[in-house]
Amino acid sequence: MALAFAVVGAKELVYECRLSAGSGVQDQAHVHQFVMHSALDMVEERMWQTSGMYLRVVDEFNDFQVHAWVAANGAKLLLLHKTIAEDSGRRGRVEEYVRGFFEEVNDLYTKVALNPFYELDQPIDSEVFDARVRSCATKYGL
Amino acid sequence: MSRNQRLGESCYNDLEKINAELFTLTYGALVAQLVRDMEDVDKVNAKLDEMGHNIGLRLIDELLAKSGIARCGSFRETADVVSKVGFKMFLNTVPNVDNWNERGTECTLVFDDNPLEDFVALPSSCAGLKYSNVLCGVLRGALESVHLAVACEIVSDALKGDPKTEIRMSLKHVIEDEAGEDYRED
Repeated sequence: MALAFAVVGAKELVYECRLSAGSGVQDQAHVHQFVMHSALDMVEERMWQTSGMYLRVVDEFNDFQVHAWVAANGAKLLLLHKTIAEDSGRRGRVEEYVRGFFEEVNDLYTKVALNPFYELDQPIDSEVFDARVRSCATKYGL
Repeated sequence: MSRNQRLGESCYNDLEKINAELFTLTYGALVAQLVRDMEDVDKVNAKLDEMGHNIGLRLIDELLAKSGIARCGSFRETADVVSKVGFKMFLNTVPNVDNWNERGTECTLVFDDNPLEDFVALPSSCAGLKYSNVLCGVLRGALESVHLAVACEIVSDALKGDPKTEIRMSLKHVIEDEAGEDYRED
């Protein structure tokens, strides 16, 4: 189950959204944010070890996993996920779903970045982008 | 296929091409920079129109030279050439000419596809911006060079939620040939 999605630009967070309310505990949001941000160091390290954009699971914390994707301009796309046990057999499938999700969201992000009125590293306040990210997440059952 | 359509195709094929995305993004960067520099969208609209006017004055020469087109008999014919040869040659898009008034002096160019507007989403602060206003200027400049004084205005804009971008083009008058001021007799 995916919990949150965020896009981090070169210097700051440009977009984030909560994907499911989880167990309904409101005060978990800051934990999610904390886990994702602490994964950034791992992302920075891993992004130079591969030529691909999809870095798979970069960090784990308690029962959270962080998947990452690095866009062509260096922006980091992060997806926070409840941990799926290694032996459950679902893990490989979920990784592929996440890949699909990232591929589509990467396209959406590229379109935003190509808009001449969007300044790089500024928060994305487009409602269309928000809605599309959410529908992507639903589509891949995340 | 009409004669002008064929002519447009063949002129387009002969011209040197550039990457469409490079062009679109360059224009986008230009408009965004103007908005930043001038801060007032009305001034930006006027500036785009003026730039277009200067482009139009030059483009018409290119069009006449490459297409070898003859004098148009009516404004309807002119509009047809503008759409099927002019826009085809320089933007590879053919707007529909529609909504003529009874006297045949006003028409609307309807763009199914406007390469200038790809990727663009207007921010709320630019609600009054006429993003493709450069096209109005180009039409005005080009037609002025062939002695047709026209007024052009974007009447609907795909960027603002309208289904298509439309430019209303109206012929004001035909500019008479006359000697320059220095040569006029009192």
